[in-house]
Amino acid sequence: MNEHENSESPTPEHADAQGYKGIQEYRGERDMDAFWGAVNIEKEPMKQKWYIPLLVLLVVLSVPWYRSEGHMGTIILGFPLWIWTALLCAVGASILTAIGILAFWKDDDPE
Amino acid sequence: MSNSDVQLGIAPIVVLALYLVLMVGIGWLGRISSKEKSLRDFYLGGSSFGVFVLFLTLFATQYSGNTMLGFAGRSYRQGGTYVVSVMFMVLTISIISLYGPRLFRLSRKFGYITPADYIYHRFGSHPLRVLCVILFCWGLANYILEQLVAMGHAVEGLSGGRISFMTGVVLLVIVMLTYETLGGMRSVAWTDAIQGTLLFGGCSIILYIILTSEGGLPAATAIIASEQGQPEKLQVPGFAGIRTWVSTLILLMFGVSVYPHAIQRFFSARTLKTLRISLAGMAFMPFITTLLAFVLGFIAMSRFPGLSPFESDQVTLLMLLDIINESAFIRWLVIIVFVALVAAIMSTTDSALLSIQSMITKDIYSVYINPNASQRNLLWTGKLFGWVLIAFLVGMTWVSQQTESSLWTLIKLKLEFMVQISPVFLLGLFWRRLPGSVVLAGVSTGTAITLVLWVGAALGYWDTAARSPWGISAGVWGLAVNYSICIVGGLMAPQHPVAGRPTGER
Repeated sequence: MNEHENSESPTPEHADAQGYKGIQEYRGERDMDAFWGAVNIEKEPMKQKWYIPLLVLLVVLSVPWYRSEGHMGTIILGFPLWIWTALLCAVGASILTAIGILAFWKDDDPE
Repeated sequence: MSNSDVQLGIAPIVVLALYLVLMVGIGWLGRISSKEKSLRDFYLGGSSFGVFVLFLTLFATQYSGNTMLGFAGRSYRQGGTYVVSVMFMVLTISIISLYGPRLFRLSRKFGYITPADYIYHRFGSHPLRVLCVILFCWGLANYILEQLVAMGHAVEGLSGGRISFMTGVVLLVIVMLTYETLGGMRSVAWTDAIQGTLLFGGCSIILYIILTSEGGLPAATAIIASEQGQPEKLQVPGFAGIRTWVSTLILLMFGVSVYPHAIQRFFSARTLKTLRISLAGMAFMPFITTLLAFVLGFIAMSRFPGLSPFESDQVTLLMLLDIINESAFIRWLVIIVFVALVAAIMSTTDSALLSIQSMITKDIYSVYINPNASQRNLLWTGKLFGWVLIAFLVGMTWVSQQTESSLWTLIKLKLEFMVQISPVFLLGLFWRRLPGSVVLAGVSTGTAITLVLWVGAALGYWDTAARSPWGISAGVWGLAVNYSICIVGGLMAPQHPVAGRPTGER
């Protein structure tokens, strides 16, 4: 099949000329300049230099590799400290992810 | 007649019946709200979902009956180290935040219906598209199978044994197929909104009950930490345990982040703002679902010691039945939680089934079998395929009940393969130089490694432990080789492929 073919999927039977809000169903076209032009996002979490390193740091801290084997430690409100550490790192990762999504994801999609 | 029957009476059956009637009613509403007979309308709800529906459908889809049953069972068996479950569910959203912006933009511009639309568009490789669809469908079919098992347990528990395991499965499947066939994604998402609300409420209730009864978590920990308990489950794991921890983290965060039914919900968002708010909310949901299951399994260790792996998958039900006699109020709360559990299971099953139908129809049937099919033909083909598949899976569920198996085994089988698709999104959307032929080689090799390790263990060539060499699961080994091939192959590929030319084989 040709990369510019338009025959992979037929047109919706009752769609208006614009489809849904201008979105036409994908039919197997492969205009790669248009593809790479489209992924040029104004602002996205991946482009923030601190985003992935901070996430990785939280993940590394959440795993108790730096504690001695068999250690239970202080129990606070029912959990040993190493479990609380893992949970707090998860809270940090949640907050970081939410900030990344809400503050560092900007696009020209009409809102 | 079981104890729960005496304790709960027929009230839960009445509540369940009302709930099921409501679901069919919503399915009918979805049908009459349908704007046209097209794949986009049926499989993506016409890309019209606002924050309320989108968030709840993402929530109800991502968190399933398995979260409440399988995860709690795993926590019971594994102890403190299963706290990893909270982190991997958070990281699932973190990974989506990396590739989501580009995929959403592309879906808007080019009108993707399925994740494989992106895969073909990006790589131009028919074998890669077909392989990914097979891996997606394999994973989702296993996912559905696991939910059907959970359905049976939930209805049997809820009805106090009056409705048998298989009757419960068949009943729920019929209702689910009815509303899904009536309105497609629109019905599924609207029922998800109800199911998500019930799940949210149910989880809050369970959390309240278990943290306030019998001394809650501190009392349970004291028993576990005692010499008669299982103090090793509160201790920091050794190097082998750390390796398993990291392996679980990688497998789950990369595997769950490419769930096709979750990706299709991106495509269903009305606006970018809708999607961003919904995803940001999802980043916090592990704390009322996965964490709850972890705590539940943890407390169950102190109250129900010595359960087999199969029995431990039902600790959530055991915990609920253990407290229903505390008061009439608690009894009604437990009934609501049981219905929420059924809702969680149904919402995940219907989404996974709809996703399989869309891929088989859009990516296989309309491309390779009947390219000239009308939209009506495609819609009916998808529905028919869904019915046949679910009938087959119900049969498989019956077979699975003849032998004891832990739910966790099924989850692993699903993710071990689906995780191999990860580089298609995480590298494919960012690295223009990466050709389809290299990705195909990476995904195929990763899948083959996983398959060989699992099949070898199943045929007895090596023991079960050897399918996870060095304590790291087969899928993670496969994924490591997969990414290595993609990165090395990408570096060796020409720097600027000619625009518009397929980079893969055809």
